[in-house]
Amino acid sequence: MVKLVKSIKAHQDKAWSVSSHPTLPLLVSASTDKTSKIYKLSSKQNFPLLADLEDTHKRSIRSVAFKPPLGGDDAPDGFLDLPALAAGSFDSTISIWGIDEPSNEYDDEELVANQQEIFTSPSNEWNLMAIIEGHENEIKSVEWNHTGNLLASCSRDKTVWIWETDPETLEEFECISVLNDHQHDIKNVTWHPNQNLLASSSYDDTIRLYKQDQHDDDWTCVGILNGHEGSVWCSKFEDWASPLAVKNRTRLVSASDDLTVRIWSCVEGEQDDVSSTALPTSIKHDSEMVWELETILPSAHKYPVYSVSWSKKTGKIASVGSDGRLVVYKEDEGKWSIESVTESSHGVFEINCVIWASLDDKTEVLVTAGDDGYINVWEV
Amino acid sequence: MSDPINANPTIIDVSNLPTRIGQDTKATNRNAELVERITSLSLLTPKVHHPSSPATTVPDLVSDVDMDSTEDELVDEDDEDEDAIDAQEIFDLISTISDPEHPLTLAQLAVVNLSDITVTLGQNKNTDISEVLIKITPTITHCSLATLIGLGIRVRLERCLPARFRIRILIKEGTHQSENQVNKQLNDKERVAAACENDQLLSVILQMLSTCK
Amino acid sequence: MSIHDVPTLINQFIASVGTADLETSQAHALQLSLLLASGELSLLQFIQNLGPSLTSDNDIIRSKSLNCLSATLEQLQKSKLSKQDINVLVDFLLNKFDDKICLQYVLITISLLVQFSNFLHENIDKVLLKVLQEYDPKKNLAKVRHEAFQILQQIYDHHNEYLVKSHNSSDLFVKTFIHLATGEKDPRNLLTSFGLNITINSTFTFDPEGNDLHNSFMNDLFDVCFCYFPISFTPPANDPYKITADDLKLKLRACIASQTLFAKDSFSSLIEKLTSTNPTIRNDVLKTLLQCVENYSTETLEEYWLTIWNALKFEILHNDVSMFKSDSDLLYPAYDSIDDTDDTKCLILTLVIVQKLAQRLGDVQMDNFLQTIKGELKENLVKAKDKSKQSVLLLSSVASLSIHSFNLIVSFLFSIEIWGKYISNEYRAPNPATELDVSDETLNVSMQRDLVDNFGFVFTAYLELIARISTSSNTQYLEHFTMGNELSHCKDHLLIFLGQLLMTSSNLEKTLKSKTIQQLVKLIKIHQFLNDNEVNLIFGYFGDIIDSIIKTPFWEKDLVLGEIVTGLTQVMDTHEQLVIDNILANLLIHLESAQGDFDQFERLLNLIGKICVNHQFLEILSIRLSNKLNPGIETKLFQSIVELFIDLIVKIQATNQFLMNSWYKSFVPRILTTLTKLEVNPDEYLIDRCGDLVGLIIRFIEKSKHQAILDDFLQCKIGGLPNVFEQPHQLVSLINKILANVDKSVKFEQVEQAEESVTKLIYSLQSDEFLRIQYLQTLSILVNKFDTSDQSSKLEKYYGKKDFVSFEILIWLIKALILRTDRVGIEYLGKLIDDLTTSQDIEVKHVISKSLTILFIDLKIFDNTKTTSSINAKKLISKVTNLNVKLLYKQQVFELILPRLIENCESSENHPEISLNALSLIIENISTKILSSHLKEILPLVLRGLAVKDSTTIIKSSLSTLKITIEESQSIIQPHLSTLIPSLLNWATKVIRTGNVRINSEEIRILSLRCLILIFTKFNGLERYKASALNELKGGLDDKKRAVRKLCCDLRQVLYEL
Repeated sequence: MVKLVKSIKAHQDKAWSVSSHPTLPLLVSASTDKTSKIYKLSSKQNFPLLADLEDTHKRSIRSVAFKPPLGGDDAPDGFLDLPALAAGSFDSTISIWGIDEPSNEYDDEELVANQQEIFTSPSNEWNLMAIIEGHENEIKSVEWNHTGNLLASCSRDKTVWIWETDPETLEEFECISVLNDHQHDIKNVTWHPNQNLLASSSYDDTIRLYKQDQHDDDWTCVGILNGHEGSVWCSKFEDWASPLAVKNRTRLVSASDDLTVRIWSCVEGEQDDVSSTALPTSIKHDSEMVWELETILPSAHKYPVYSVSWSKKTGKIASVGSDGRLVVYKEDEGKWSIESVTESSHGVFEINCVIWASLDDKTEVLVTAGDDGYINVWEV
Repeated sequence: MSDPINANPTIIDVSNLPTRIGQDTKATNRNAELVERITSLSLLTPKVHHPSSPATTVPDLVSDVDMDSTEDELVDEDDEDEDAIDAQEIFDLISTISDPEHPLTLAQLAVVNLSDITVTLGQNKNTDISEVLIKITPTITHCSLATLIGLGIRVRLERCLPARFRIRILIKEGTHQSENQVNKQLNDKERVAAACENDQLLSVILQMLSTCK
Repeated sequence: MSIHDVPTLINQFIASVGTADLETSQAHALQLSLLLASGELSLLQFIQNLGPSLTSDNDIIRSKSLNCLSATLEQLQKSKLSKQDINVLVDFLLNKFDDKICLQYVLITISLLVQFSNFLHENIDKVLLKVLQEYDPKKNLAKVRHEAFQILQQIYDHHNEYLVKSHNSSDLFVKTFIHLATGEKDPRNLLTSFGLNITINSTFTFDPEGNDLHNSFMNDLFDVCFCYFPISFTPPANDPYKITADDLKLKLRACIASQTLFAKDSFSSLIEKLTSTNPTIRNDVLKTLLQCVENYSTETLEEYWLTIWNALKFEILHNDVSMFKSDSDLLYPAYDSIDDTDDTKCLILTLVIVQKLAQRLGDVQMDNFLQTIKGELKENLVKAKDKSKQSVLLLSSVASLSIHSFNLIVSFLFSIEIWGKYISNEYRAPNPATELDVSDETLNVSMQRDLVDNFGFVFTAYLELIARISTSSNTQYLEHFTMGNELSHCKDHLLIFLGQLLMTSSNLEKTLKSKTIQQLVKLIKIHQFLNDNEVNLIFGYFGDIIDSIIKTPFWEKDLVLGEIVTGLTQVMDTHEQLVIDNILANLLIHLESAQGDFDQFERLLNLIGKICVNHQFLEILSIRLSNKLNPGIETKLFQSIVELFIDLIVKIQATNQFLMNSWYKSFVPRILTTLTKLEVNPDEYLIDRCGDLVGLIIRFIEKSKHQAILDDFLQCKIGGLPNVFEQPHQLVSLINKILANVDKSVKFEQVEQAEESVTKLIYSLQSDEFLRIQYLQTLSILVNKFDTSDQSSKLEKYYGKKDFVSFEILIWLIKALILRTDRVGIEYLGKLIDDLTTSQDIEVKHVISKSLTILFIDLKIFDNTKTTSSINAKKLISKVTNLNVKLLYKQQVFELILPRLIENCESSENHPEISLNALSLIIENISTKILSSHLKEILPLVLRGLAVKDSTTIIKSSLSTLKITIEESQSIIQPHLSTLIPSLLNWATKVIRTGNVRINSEEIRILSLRCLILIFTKFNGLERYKASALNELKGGLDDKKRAVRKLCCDLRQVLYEL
């Protein structure tokens, strides 16, 4: 059962998007009120506000994403990484935010040991580090790859851009690819949590997948998922670490205007196993990936579904949408069922985003963002 | 616009537009009013609420929008009865929007019609979702302004209706060449939100709404 | 004073002149003139004394000395000075023309001399010649040039007979004038120049053909004025002569129009200037043109009409003439009021000129004129072209001039090839040519509209023509014309045609139908044009339309119906009977059949009400409808009939009053019997309204009858009324109305007993709120109007008692008294206020504060405003004054107690909020007028009131006071906005309650929103509140009450537009 832990009145207007840091208890939100807010995911401290990122974007901030730490979220402890995030706005720019190296009152050991405390204290200054321009019009979504050196963004201009940066300095953002395979407005981009596989969801009712060609480094579309009968609002990959993950099987969940939530899967033959280096890689990704609709989750929404999230910890899926419902699905023996439906979880307002996140005490929670400007935290 | 796409549309006279007709109960109401007015002069029934000095009592203050105020709603029932939002009210909200190219209102041009408005109300105002469905009839089948008009209507309603309403605006079947594209756009929350931050577009819409009464 | 002082006087003059004190120099000049007048000083001696200074080498001295001469002569009667003296002086002065410094005074002195009776005509030519030859205007200043003009002016003023007689002198005069006028620039001199030009043109006769000199005169005279046209002039800041641009415009215009011989140049030049795009200029040109057409001789006009016509028709034909409306009774509106910068004014002026032109022409040329315009405009009319309206306008304005032109033009317009083919079938049949013509001429709707419009202008011309003829006295003319004319010949066809348009056109064609109705109505309005049968025919059409319309939904708003109603009301006075027989009869039938359907019944009643605009009709209606009034009638119907009559009586009495004596015999009893015998018991409202109706009628019955009326009612002699003084009876409210509306002079026998029994009834009615209050009103009005005895003992008695009813009685007695500002009443009101402010017993305070409402509330029985406010009470045709209420009683009483309440509100202890409540109760019943002067004192209380969180009344009245304040004076509000806006938003959108009672009732929410809307529309620089206000208001969007939601939307709209 799902229960409300905390309801934060974060914004004066629609809250569009939330993102949590993979390793630190940090939450960031984005809103029509042109601000982003950073909170500490700690129920003991009652979710204090850490920073208010404002006066940067001229229009709504549509999407935010924390940069995964160097070497991925399962990086060894004692590894130091300064938190940073990207925010994409209707003003067609992306802003990059981060904190300075904490003053040398700590020596490195201290720093490493207590980074969770230090990086999540309100005393840190969150600074604008870069503004990325390039898209013609509104940016709808931004997302970092698992190693934090690639940032993907998509826009109403029907293109997906991939930017490369030095994940330590985050100074230069160089556009290494512009993908214009979609026929319409692109609603969302998402990276595979463990590999450089990118998915984009669009107003043209399709989802496209992209990989980097091995020999000529170019990014190409390696798959199209047809089937949704309305705009696809959001999609998320299953983490290999998820308890229900199966080797060689990549799965994607997608949410759509057609009120359905679908799971797609792609089973790769031995030779295509990304992790193996047995054979020469020359012939690899030339062949398209073969994706199939695995299932349509039991219908639970009576209005468009705007967002889904796939738990790395439990393998559960959560979906939210215009009807204000927060739905959690679980899978056993490959059968998906609805675990819980929470009605009007933002009152009568629409819900724009749902994510799985973990609090400072490592308990997993759901975080939702609604048109009422609230951010709600739920225990499952 | 220099050359209107539809130069001479058929126009409905304002006086023939549907309005809320006075309830036939007014006769009895009048009598009630009269009696109320007269008896209010009585000093025998001091049923007036006696004011006590402002300092002493602090009233309980409850916002209507506040999500978790159901129990107050219950108490509310006894002091006021509700005029539910209905199709006529929606019609009144949008009928006076003016057409982007004619100096006429959408109702006069029969772009919006009372009969094409459906209101579905949820049980509980604070938790349940209500829906308004509006089918608009473009003045001509290739009217490129259909989207703009629809957008105008949506903005007007989003400004005037409480959050519990989901607004669906559709082109009336068979009245427009690219029905589906228009519908998809008009009902894409994100597109609409973005459009409303586009200054040129907004000023046109402001123009259209400036005639709203 | 003697001649020995002359040198001194002269020196003193020269010393003082030109300095600040004009008086002294004038005084000296006067002395001198007196000496001259008395003969003590001869002119010769005077000149000799001036001698040294006159010949001084010092320019200043010289000119001042001449100034002295002129000043002296100016003061001297013009009969003095001998021919001899004058001749000497003239010669002396003419010889000083070369003395530039003195020239001004030389000229002044000459124009003075010209005025002397002994000034000889020979001198005129001398002077003129000198000025012509030796004076060069270009070399002199404006003020000097002015004096030169003066000479001419004076010569003309004093010697015009001579000038007119002697041609040489007059020619010389003209020459000199042209010499002076050429190149003049100074506005003051221009005025004189134009003036002289006009006088020359109007008095001297010229013969350009026979006389070259005169011919050149004409050109020059024209040039020296027209070269300034169109004249524009902005007066300098401190212009001593106060000359306006209009002075010059008008003078110049008059000047151009003053000489018919200018025609050869003026018309062409003016028409040329007509091409200007600046409306102000075009209007100037047209006005000038008009004046020329008015003033030039007929011969001239007959010579030039074609030129003018060709220019003017262009004006009309090539412009948008939508401003001319076919439904008006005038071809064009009065144009004086229209601003010169308005293009439409040009159009009107053009039509006026065309008319004037046609008027000035003699018969022969007139016919040519008519033929020409017919010929030229025909092609626009044969086929319904876009210029048809313009052409018809031109034709109509000429047609409206004379019977002759009317017949000519109408017969032309209704000839087969033009309109005949549409309106008449038998025209069509024989002629195959037009058959073709017609077949491709089938009228579409827009053509039909235009056609009807065009008919309209012809009908208007008819109306105007008749007006013209009837003013021009000879009535048999009018008779003869109305008996038979070209329009009456095609009358039948017209009626059929219009009838068909009306009846057969699609019901969607509201405009066409409306236009047709307008024109049919106009035909009815035309004096003696239609006979009763024909009018009946038209009313028949109307009837049919009404029949069909009233079957449709929302018919009461139908445009066509509206048009018919307007039409009927316009012809009501002339064709009342026909309206009654056709329309009313018809409607009554519908009413009959609508009995079942109440809404329809009421709508029909309203329709009848709209048609009813005079009392004859109203009386008929009262008779026709009263058969509906019988005990069996459904109360709803009864009620709406009663209310219809109230509205109609109020409406008609407001426009022109009529006595309603006759109504008392039949109608009033009918109403009352119906009421008393009604099968289902009437509700209070119905009784109340019946009371209003009867009371209203009584007020329009002659004063003399009122005593009898009152007695009838008291003795229950009418309508089976019960005696409400013996037994409690709901009809008492009706009796109250009667008591209230009878003239205050009438006697009420044994009023004390009546009061006694009423008081008893009041005590007996403890439990029946409504009826008790009714009787309290009875008591109040008895004391107020009919009981003249001293009330103090009675008040004392009730003041002493402690029970509620007695207190109530006390209050109503006080009300009765303060209404007529009776001393005793005021005194006891004072006592009440004392108790309110000082008493320790909170109950007492509350009751008193509540009772103040009673004292200030307006009750129908003490107030006529609801019915006859539009009529000055003193001026009732019936001479009735029914109220015994002092005009300013409220203000008096209010200003008496306001300070004490405020004082008490401000004192913190002893429950100030009660006084605040009291104040608010009063304010609710005080007119803005009285209140506005006290807003400043009250506002602090208002703000405090808004802080009160638990009294609907206080907040409501605070808000209504606040609303008034915002409307009345922004400055008072401005400093409080930052606190007001949030608290208003609170009251408007939140649920605020103490216990289970919601404090901010719908009314409060509405008031708050209205205040906010006012604030955000009246004040500037409130943008900073926009975002938060918009947010707050979201709550109101889901308010339970539609009215509140509506206002929220409106306010949000206002905010979004900030």
